[in-house]
Amino acid sequence: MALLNQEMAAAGRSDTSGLLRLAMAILAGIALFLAIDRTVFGSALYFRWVAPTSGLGSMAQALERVAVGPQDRSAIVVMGDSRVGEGFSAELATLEARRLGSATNFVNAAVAGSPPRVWYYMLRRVFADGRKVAGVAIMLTSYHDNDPENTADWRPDIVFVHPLLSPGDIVDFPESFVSAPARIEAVEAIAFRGWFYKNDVQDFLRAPERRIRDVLAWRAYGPAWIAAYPGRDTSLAGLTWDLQTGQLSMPPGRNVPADASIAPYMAGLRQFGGRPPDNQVAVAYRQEWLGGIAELCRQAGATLYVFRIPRGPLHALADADDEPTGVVAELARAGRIVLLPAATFDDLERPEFFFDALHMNRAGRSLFSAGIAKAIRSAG
Amino acid sequence: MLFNSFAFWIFFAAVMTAVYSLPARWTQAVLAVASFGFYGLWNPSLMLLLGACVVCNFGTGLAIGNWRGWRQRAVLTLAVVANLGVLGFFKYYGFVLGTVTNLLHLQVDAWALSIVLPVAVSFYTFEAISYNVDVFRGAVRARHDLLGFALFISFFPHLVAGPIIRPAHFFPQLEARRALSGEALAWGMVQIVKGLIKKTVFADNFAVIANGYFDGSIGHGGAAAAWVGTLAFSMQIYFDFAGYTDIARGCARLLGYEFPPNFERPYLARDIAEFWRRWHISLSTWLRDYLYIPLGGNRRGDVRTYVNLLITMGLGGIWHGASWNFAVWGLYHGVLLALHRLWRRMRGDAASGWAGRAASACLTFILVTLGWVMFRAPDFATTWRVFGDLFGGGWDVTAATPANFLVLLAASGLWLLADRRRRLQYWLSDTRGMLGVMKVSSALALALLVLELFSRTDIAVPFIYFRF
Repeated sequence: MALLNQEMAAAGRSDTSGLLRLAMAILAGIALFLAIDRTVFGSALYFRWVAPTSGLGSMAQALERVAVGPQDRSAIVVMGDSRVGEGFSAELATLEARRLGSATNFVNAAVAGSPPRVWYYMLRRVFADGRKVAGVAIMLTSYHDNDPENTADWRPDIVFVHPLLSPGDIVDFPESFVSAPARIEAVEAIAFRGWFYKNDVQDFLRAPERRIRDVLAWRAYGPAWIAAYPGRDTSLAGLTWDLQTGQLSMPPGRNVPADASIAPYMAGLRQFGGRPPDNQVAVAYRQEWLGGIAELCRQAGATLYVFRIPRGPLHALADADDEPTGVVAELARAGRIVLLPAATFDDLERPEFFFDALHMNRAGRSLFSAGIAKAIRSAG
Repeated sequence: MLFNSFAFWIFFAAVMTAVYSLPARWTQAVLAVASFGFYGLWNPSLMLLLGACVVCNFGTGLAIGNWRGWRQRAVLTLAVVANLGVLGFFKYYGFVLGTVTNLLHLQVDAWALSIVLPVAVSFYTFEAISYNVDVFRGAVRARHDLLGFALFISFFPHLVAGPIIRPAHFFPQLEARRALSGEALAWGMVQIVKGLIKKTVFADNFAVIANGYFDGSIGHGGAAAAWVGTLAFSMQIYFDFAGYTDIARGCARLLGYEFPPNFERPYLARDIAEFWRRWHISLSTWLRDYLYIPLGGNRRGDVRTYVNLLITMGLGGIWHGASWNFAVWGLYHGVLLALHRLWRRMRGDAASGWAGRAASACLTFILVTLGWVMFRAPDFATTWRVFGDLFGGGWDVTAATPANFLVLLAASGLWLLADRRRRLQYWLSDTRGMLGVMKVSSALALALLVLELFSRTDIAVPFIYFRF
């Protein structure tokens, strides 16, 4: 009996030590995985090699443009989505500033598909790197709290933002989303950095030489290519809309199916007369992200300018809507942002300055870039 | 709730915690409740069907165990017919109705019923049949505890897609004392990680290529595209089902139970009979023991043996789904088995020498892969189209081959080589000494990185065998 007890005790010890060893191995494995994940994907190590023409690549380039831009307090960083990317030229704006006798240098930090939440994290990175700028100019499509309600839950933001997140964002960033799946995905973005590089890594591994060649070429010539981009030559000149009947006439050679953006744009314009109703989700979103950007700028000693991007080719037909309300009005009253007059670019909301329902063409780009420089100069 | 979903692992962690934190006498109850809950997540009303299956078969088992003579045979017949009736009604009613009304030019609507196919019905009815037959044969004693029997039928790791568990294998484990050992934990976790890699990295990436071809979006009319699509499906179905089985076996092991292996590197089989000894072993042995042998097996002459093979494989084919495609796929394998048997009688055993063995394995793999066309195609029209492409299409290899196909094939080869004779399984389950700890932790880190970077989380690819 004593022998049996001894054997059982030995078996128990052996089993306990086996479990302990396994627990150690599992913990060490997870720690090693997280360390590799963090080292490769949580630092600039991989981020510098993402596909230059991808969404993430365009953000990496935007950050790079800000980083290598003029290193004094003359710089104004202009942020927005593809509407700023297509419609704004930093070179033309800087030339206009020179003509007006200003030393301001503009930097285009637009990223296609990016909203204010993404700009917040980009700016946080810019300022954390010690970059000094005179000001930041961000686009809005409306001076009212009427963004689409799904903006707050826009999951592509996670793909843009994940390289800029740190463990300290584990609560705030997920909380900024509304739905549980989006919040879980946001947590994953912080815990597992490589998860969101999956497609890029696979693309890299399919043709590593091509990727390295592309990235090196974009590093060497990207800024020059972007500076030389003149905008698109096509225009919607000739597009007309009958307010009474809702009848739309497309310019010669273009038709509604070919311009997929026109139909939803017209539907929105007709339904809301250019001003969709305000909503509480937009209020909270703007308070969080516009307020957050304003605070970042205040801490960095930079002025935050807000401008209304030309909204579309036929907005000139809609009712004038120039009085800011809601969050932007409050921020402006509190002196936390400089709100450029809403009507500043109303003259550009015409078909001849657009190549589709959202984006300005070459002519619009030229006028808008000069207009931004003038408006900021006037605002002080 | 799929094995490759986050929700499942939360559920599994909760069950495991309950099993090992509550007194041992509660284990079976916890697992049975969890299994019914797991099943109910698909469709709560189907828990009634599962419950009825458990209670009825428990009753018939007791009757078969207690009675002798004609009454015993009558109850066995009743049990088998009732289980096949449930399977037939839920799985084949619409199919048979469609076929009959089509033949007789009748209106389908007058007879149509809105029937939901219960998940896993093919698996648990087969397990119930084997229980009744085994009790009748005296291979196992009838269970007298309903809870243990309910767990045998419903145990969630094998419930929805097998392996098909045999009473003689499972019942003795119900009596065993359950304690979580380091060895069992390591073994189970390695199985699960291997299964997840097979499913989400290999199967799902192959699925994208196979679906692209079979769903008709790419490669129409090209032989190269057809071969790529067919090969991709061949690899997908292996990794998908083997991955599922690994996860099921790993989960069971972590809960204190062992399931038999269901795959033994089937694509390296040197003939079709060997393939069926290595592929979906729990089904092929079930068909052998409960259909082929009762039909007479190979004991009633050559002709009857070939007929028995055709019947067994034809029914095995249609077990997979209510479609003539599955029946033809099964018959195709029946014909291959009959031809192989005939060939062996005339020419002796399979080729010897490494070249002969390699050629035999290649031929077997190609024949099996061609069979998957019938399995994957939704109808005969698609099947003919694919065979037309395979043997009569153009050979634009560059356009037909997705960039990652060859990489996936190479990675699959490496994987099979590394895990030859379950080397990975044994090697990684051994945590003895500091070297053992470092080995396991490095492998775990690598596995997590592979899952993070190469698993397909952007698309939902259900396990293929879940629909059977």
